[in-house]
Amino acid sequence: MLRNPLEDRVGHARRCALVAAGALCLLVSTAVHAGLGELVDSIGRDHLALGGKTLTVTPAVAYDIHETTTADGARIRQYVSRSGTVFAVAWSARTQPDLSILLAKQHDAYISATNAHHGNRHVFTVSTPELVISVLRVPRGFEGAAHVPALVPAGTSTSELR
Amino acid sequence: MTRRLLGACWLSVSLLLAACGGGGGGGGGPSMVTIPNVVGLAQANAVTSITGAGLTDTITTQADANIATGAVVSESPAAGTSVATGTMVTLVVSSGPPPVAVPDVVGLTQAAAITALSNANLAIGVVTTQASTAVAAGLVISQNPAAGITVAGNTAVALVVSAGPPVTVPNVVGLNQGAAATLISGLGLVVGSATNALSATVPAGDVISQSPAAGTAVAVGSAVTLVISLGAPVAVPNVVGQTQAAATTAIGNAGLVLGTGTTQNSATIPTGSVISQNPAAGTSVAPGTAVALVISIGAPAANTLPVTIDSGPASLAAAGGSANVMYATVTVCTPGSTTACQTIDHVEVDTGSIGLRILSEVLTGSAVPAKFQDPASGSPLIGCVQFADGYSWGSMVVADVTIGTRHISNLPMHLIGDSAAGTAPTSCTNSLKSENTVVSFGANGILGIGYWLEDCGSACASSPQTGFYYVCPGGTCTPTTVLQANQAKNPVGLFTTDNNGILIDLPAVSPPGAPTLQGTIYFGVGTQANNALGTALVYTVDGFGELSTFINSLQYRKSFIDSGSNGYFFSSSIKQCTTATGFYCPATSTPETATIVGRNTTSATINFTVDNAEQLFAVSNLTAFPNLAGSNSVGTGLSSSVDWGLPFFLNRKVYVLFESYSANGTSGPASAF
Repeated sequence: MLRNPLEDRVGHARRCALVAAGALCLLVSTAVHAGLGELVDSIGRDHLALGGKTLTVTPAVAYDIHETTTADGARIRQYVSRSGTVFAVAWSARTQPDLSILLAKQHDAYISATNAHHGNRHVFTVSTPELVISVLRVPRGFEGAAHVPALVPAGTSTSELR
Repeated sequence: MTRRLLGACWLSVSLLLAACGGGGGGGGGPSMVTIPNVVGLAQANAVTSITGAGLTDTITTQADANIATGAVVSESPAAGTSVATGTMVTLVVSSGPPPVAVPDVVGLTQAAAITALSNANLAIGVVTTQASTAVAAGLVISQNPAAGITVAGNTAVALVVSAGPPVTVPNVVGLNQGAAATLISGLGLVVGSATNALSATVPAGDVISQSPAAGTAVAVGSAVTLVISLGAPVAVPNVVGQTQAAATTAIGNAGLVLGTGTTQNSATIPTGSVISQNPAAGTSVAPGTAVALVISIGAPAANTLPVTIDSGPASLAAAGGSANVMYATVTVCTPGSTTACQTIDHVEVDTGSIGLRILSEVLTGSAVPAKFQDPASGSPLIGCVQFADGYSWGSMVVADVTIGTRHISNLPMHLIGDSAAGTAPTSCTNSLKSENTVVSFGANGILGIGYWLEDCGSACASSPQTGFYYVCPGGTCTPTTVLQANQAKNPVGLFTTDNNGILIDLPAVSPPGAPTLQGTIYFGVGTQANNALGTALVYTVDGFGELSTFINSLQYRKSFIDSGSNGYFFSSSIKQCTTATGFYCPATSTPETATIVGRNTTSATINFTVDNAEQLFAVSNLTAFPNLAGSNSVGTGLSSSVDWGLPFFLNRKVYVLFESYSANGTSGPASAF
């Protein structure tokens, strides 16, 4: 569902309070997890934290795709550049994977954006210089993709990152 | 000649170039011009041409059979002659064909008369026939203008030709139509139009009246029109309320026949009896007239649920209101009670989720849903539901629920935001915002009637799943398994009939939108006349509820149809809005064409339009927008989806076929439209 943009001006004060609460959560989550913007050696920890069953690595021209699948059918991909940095993540799952793990340092930006969100509950998109993310609530599951624009290797189309 | 004048010459027409050259060569002598050809031109145009060439003119007239009146027949000196400027040119203008004397054609045959008139340069006017005893048939009786009069050539001469001696129209009144026709044609007359009329005195099929009347003298070949009797008028009997059989007998006994029969719901007329008739009782009609009947099929089916698109619950409307959200009203009662009930309006109808969820804050009446205890642990069962931007958390309960006219006892449902549920764990919240109030949730509740019978299904029955069901003994919440029967249930799937799906029927909305919109949800697919598939095709979806869409030859394989999304959401280069974030703001209305392909390969072409969302929202008081659209990928790789939201449902009957049911031989889960 979605409301008129008018509502956002009215509801501004309420949302600011929620933004503050989200930032508080972030301090806890980034201290523990790796993911977007972290180094490749964080992926093994993520795999375990996400309840991964299999982990495969598929090389592409400018990056490697580290794909975790879980026992309940979730598929999570982390894209690692030649310099060893996770620059994009994507997921397809029945329920949302732990995004504090996958988004890592960018998780607070995501939370702030959702608190400012007046789109419908099935579609959430944000595009900032620090984080580009789309989350879709499909009838029985979630599809998501996110990347940090500055970290995407030259010559890589973001449409590949899914 | 100065340089300036020379330039003027170069700009002139070719005729004058010769004059310039002549002037240059002749020193100070008169300028020479060539006489233009004006033969055939209208006089005014010819004079313009002559004077324009620096000449003068004089006019004489002359009759001419070949040149139109007022046009130039000849000129002198002849065209092309080079003469001095100011020379007089004589124009001879046609005064039309030469006058002729009208020849005498009376007494000639019609053909000979026409030849004679043509030879005399006259036209043939109207030729009429007239009975005559004096002049033989086929000869000219008279002419106009009369012979000897001088007229302009080509004048039309009208002729009256004899049809021979007159015929007396016979009396055919009272004869049957066939005999009347025989008599009329036997006298060299023809039968004109025949019309019908009711008559209490003239038997059916006989002539009531004729024109011209009997005894009139007319020319051979004249038409006689007839009025034929349909017989005595019959009064249509009153058959309303009678059984179809009794009505049929009464209609037959009256000399009438049964017309078309249609069926219609009626709460007052028993099934199989007549609701209405046409023509109405007492009307006088011809014997054999058909009487159409509308037959009752009984009281309207109790499988409907009214739905509304409007600004939403009052608290939400005060904060700006909702856009493209479809709401219904449900009644929630304490289990086992018919009086401890509360009617709850503005419950969002969502085909993108499953289960009835009510915001705890709106349950202010006497209805008290019963908390559901997890059988294994004895702890209260708590439900979680995750969205793209947040989550909702609250106790799982059972209540007696009425939706439309359908009643469900002990429906497992979700109470959102009740204090007894405590704080949601991180595995439910994902650190996102809570949507546990009417304003943050956007509705007083949600009625999830999508493809499935439970919100989680067998996965949650076999192993604990994050993001669905929890128990919180000692304040620590962990996911737990829940039997499918105890999960948040699709209420329609629990009906005893009409439980295999739904049909959502919303009317068309003209751009930019409508302040409110009323529609109907029909329970069941193909179970009653009002939810029949008709010409709709069935498009199956996969386990995620997804099917494919193609736009501009690109495939969006993870597309879905969802009444809970408030626009068309897809990847496009259309300009994004700046204030209405996530929506498209094209400079002008932008048409799009897409093809939806079910997993069963059934396909449909869909045309839709994207309007500027900020301009739509700027129109006050609108809540239903047919052309609202937005982006779902903003430059990520997640361009694999088209979200066919609520605008897709406008002016289109959209069916949802539940899992484990089939329609037209195709198994659900599926959509049909």
